[in-house]
Amino acid sequence: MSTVTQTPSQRTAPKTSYLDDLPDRKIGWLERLIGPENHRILKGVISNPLSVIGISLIAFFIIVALAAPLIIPSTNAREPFMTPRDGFGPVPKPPGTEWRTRPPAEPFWFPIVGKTEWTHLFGTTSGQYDLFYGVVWGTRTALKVGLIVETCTLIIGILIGSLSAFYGGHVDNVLMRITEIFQAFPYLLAALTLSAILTPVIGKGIWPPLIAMVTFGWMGYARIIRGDILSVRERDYIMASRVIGVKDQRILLKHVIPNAIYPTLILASMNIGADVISFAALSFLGIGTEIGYADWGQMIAFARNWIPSLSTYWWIVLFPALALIFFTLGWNLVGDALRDIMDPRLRRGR
Amino acid sequence: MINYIIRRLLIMPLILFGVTALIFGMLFFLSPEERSALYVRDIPHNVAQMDAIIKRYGLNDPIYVQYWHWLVGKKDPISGNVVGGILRGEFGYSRTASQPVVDLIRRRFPATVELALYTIIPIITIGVYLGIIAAVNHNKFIDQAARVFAILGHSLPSFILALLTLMIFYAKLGWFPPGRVSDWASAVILSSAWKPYTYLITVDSLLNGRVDIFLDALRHLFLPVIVLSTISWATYLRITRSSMLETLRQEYVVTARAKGLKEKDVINGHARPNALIPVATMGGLTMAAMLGGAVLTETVFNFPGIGQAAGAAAAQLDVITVLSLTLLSGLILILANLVVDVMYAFLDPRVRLD
Repeated sequence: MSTVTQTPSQRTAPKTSYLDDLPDRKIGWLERLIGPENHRILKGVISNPLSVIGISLIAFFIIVALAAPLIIPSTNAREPFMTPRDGFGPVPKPPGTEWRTRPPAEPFWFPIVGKTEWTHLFGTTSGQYDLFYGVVWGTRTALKVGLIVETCTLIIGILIGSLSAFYGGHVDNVLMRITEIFQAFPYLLAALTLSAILTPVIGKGIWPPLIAMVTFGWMGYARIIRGDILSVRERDYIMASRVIGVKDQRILLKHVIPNAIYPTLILASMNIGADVISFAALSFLGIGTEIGYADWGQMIAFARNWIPSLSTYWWIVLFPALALIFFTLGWNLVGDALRDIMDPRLRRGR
Repeated sequence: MINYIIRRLLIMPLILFGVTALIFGMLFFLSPEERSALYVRDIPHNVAQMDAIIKRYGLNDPIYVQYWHWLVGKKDPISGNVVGGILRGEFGYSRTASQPVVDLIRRRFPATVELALYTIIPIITIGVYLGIIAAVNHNKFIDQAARVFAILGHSLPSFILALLTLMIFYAKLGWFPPGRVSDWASAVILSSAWKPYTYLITVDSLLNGRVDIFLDALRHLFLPVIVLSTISWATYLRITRSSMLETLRQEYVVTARAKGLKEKDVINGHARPNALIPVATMGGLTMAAMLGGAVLTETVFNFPGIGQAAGAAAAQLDVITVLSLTLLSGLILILANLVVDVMYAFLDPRVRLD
């Protein structure tokens, strides 16, 4: 390991501590840039094969989401998220059926695979919504939902958690009781109820379930942030800043909050998979977006009326379900690796 | 410990007030016309009649007055009887089920309880048992398999798992049909010869001496139980595994080994009881997961419990019903968490000083 050349004075110095026997560790530019703790996390994530699979899955979905208009161009420029229909027949058509009415424009990849005309690659649902379009554009919906919900819940959680930890006493007591009250309900039922209440007020769309999910989703972050701030506050380097006379406000903003929120930020981003499942579940129950919106839960909901003949019409469930499963699996694989790396109790002896 | 329990109980009224206030706050998103479903079955379309009802039940009163009426009931100025009041068990009328919400709960609740009771079996056998085996064989094949199993269990959304199992075991193979019992069995249950002792069909059928109905009910329960338990056993597997791993590293376990105890006794007698303490505290979380998961599972399997009622009501924007069911499950959860916390204090002496 020792690649750093030692100076003669070091070589001749008498050994006074066991530290002298330790080999020198080379600190690379990356570690210098992002700090030792983040470097350790990054190294752990990249060296774990399961999390590499997870990262690849996430990257794949992000690319599909960004390239959705190139993969399958929208036929309705004003509402690109409305899935195009090929007629109105009630019976789902199998994958590979010819697209008769107003197919989308020819995308860039047709010449590459030698295709000349649009077919229903994943088949159609009842009502003849094209499943391929729904799955591809649904990736955009999924990422949008995950990002919005995590950003909003984090902001609320950080606000409540840090207020609670800073002021302590009565403020802490009141805020934590409020957190407990919001946590008293099963998440899905509470979100279901609030979406049902909000739908007539703001209309169908992705917003009623999103607002409901944020309203009942911030409590975990508030508690974690509060706990982390309380523990960071007691560390030696905070004491050291106090001793050299740094102002309280500066200590909080510069040292306490950044050190307290990074773990939460990383863990929060890994909850995107769970959010997308919840959103799809609400869609599946018939809450939220209008019929035909490109959204995986909405697509799967078409299967509810075909349960006795699902083995015939397997494609209505299979394709959107696979998208949802791999999407969640991607985030869960990375999240699982991160949890292992960041859990201080598991750190030793590994 | 008495102190701990008393302190925990003193907070309860506050939490209960907050929970009911939050629910009532959501109720206030509705117009007074819609809120009249709290008191009357048929909402009139006639404006004059509507105004009379709003006046009669004080639906334009200040919010705190209405909250009080919603909580304890209101004296009807015309008939002189007390009407409404969730403390009196009157949650209003369900539009989708066309019956009072409390009747809906009474009729549907046993099915959900029965479903939840059976999910304990896979949670204990797969979650806890496999979790311990995985930790004991840390980093061996069975440990890796258990981890992959847990991640898969977490990543499979319950409604998709439900549809996939139905696709294979009902549509394709015809082994496990949806619903709670077959038509012939439900005819027997509705007949006067059937004596409902517990309203749990698997128990009642044995008490009535009908093994065929017992088997039929089990056949209908099988898939919903598998689906509803999946999220929970995946969590239990992970928590049990990491808790057991940590316990096995403790010094007293090393001491037990150094004394020359058999490995089996070290694990079963010394490590396992302590490793299961954090697992025991997950009871409240599990209840929450089940009450939420029941909505999806029961909806897909057409299983007539309160979850299905909540899903159907929400889809039709029947707010009074879904709100009441949410309130009910919130109260159940608060109770469950209280029991778990008190139990924790008994199990783990370290908590008592806290």
